[in-house]
Amino acid sequence: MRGGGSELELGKSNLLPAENELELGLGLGLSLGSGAWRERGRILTAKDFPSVGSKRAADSSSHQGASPPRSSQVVGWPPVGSHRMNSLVNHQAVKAAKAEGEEVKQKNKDEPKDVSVHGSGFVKVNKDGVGIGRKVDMRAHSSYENLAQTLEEMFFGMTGATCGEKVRPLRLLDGSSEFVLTYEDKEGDWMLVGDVPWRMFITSVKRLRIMGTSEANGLAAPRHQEEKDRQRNNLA
Amino acid sequence: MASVSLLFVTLLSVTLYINIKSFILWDQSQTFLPSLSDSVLMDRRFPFKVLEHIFSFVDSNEDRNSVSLVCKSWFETERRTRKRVFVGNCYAVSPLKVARRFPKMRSLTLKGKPHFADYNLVPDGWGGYAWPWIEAMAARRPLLEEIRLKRMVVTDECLEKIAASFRDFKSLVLTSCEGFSTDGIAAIASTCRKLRNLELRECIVDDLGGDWLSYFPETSTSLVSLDFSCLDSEVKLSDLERLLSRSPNLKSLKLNRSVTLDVLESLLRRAPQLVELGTGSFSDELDPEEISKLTKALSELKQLKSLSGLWDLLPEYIPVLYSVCPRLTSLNLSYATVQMPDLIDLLSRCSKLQKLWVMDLIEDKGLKTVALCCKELRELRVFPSGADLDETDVTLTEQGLVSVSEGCQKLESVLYFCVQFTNAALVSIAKNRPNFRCFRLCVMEPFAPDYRTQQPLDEGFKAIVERCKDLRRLSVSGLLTDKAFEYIGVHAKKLRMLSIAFAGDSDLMLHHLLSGCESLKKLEIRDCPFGDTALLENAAKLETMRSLWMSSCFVSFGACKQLSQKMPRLNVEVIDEHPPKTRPDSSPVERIYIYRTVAGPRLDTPEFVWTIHKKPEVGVSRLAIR
Repeated sequence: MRGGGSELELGKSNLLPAENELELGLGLGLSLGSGAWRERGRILTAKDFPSVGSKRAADSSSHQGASPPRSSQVVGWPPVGSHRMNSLVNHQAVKAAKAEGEEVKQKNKDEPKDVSVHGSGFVKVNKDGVGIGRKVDMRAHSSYENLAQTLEEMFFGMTGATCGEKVRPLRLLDGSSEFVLTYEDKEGDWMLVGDVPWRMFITSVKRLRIMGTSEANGLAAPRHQEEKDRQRNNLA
Repeated sequence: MASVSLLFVTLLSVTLYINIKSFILWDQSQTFLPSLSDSVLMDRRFPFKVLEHIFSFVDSNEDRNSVSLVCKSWFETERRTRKRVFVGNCYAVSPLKVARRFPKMRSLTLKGKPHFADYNLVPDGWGGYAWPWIEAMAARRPLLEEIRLKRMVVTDECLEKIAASFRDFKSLVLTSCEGFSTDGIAAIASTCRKLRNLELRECIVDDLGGDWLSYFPETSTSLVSLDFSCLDSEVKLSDLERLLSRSPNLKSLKLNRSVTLDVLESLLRRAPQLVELGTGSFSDELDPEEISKLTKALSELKQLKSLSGLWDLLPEYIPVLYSVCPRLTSLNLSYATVQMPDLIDLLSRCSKLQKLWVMDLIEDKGLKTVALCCKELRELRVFPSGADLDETDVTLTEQGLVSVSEGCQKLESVLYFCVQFTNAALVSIAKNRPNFRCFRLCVMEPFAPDYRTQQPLDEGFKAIVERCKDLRRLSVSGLLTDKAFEYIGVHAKKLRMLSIAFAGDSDLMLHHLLSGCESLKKLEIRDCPFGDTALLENAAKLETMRSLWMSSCFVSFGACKQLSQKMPRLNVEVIDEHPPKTRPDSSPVERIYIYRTVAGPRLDTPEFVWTIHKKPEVGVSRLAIR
């Protein structure tokens, strides 16, 4: 890798015709003004760095000609070892690629078997009044409807309830049954299932709970702080 | 330990002096009695065996260097007993001289290129070749067991020579080296039957594939540490598994990035005795069963103290590491792209942590957690996560470092990358932690002043050097005037290494440093506006230092010539990739590298390096020998 200021030296080659003049001047024993040095040596000064988001950006027009190098274009700055630099550059590329990929996926929300979530997909589910909890694999589901169906089969399907309850799979989610589905997120807050986009939901859900509608009254869709505190007290 | 042995040596020398004196007196009083045995009278030196035994307690090379200056017999005894030889600049002395001087040499450490080579400021091909050293040692010191090289050019030929020449070879540690391929590593693996350490740290290797791993002998190996984290290609899992199974002494294993997460568990099961682990990639998908197996395997590593690797660590996998956290003394997260708040879960469990390397993704909040939970912290490094300054959008400010300096009483070494800083923060940090030995602050925006007061950071660094009396290493940045360097010159008496970029106003800066910093050994400067006068005035100082690097400064060709002619034991190298056609004395040079040497100008310079000749009439000679 050819390092060492090749960008900075571009200015020099333009000065060849003037070289003789400079030499004569110097030969007469004149002291070297910083101007001569600046052309030859091309030392970077404060003017070359329009600082990120500060007033000095306006002053950058005052220096000679060529556009100022961004601090990232200066060789060897910031002083990070090349191994680490390569790793960083890779990371930026991966981030960019991922961001693109995310955008594409957001558009196709209902893709079946959209298994792009890393890590464990299993979360515990407890139903009020039932001692033993179950586990459900979030990754195996593609939407809230899907999830609700599984849960209903798990907790309601076996009780020998009337056929009517099986036929309408969205009851857990639309508030028309006596139970609602809630979840605990990463920050420890309990919320109603269904408020956020599915993809965001599966990355933040920690636990699921099927609770009675009466108890869940405090969980309104737009959350207010007092309500959060109230339901925390309820669940405590 | 060093001071104890020095004290011991001092006491000894006093005792010796008294003994020698009494010998002499005794001898004088006996001149009238010629019947006394000649051998008793002749041997006025303290018996070699006793000296040798005493010197065996003197470990540090600095102490040994002092010991060797006391008198000729001490020099002789010391040189015959030195086992670990350290040469800080491979061009300061010839390999032959070193080989001859230390007959009992078992370990050789060499450093080649200047430190700024790490940041691409030294053009390729500058030098730092390991071959002459290895050739010389192979011929004269075949009992050599360890070679440690930093920033040197090592070829496959070198590695093959090592494998072929040193029958008891045990340890090869290459840091930031280049020029070899995996074939060379295979040669070492297959031939050095007693190999204990094979560590490639941040080397640039011509990676021809992962086959080299299969070259280790089939029988049980004596491997204690294996580090191939800088290689790119995949090694075969079965090779690695079998190697681990037959390496019962392995304590340190650092995998490369292409070792995927799903195989980690199987590897750890075969090496539960590991003290240091560098994982491979930590971002692959695992199913719950695999995760629980991995968690269990990690929890079985009861002796694990150091964890690194963790490339692209995903937040979901952080709990997997919980079991090892409480025992960890060293954690390197600098390749783990985990952000807040996930990092807190990890760090709050690491109460024994002494060394932490992270990216600025840790933010001020995370550093506050560190300040609260990691009370044993001695070393902190915070690296930038954005390759480009403009991409930095994390909230890591000077406050993070202030918190850590408040909370971690034992903190003594810091490397901190931050966009901007304040004098007030530096003053607080200095007040909190006068025990700093290494303080490297990189304000990433060049010429950035204190962003609150718009003042230069002079006062801040003044506080640092005033209060931290034991400061050995300092890197400064931000807007600095000559005043800052006056303070450094006045206060930083123990400073050995100083790095400066984009700072100062004039020659005075250099003058303050060279005339003030008594212990200065290495000075590296880039893009600062001064040169000739200070350099020439303080020429004598340069011989007390290991080296001086200046790039993109105002040093003229004429000054280089003068300096070189004035100081016969300095090599003054002019490194110019775009030299002008004619070179008048006033023309500036791109870079100079000045170092003391007893070996004269080197003979392996490439075409862009000129060593100024000592004789004025010869001028400049470019001695390039292929």
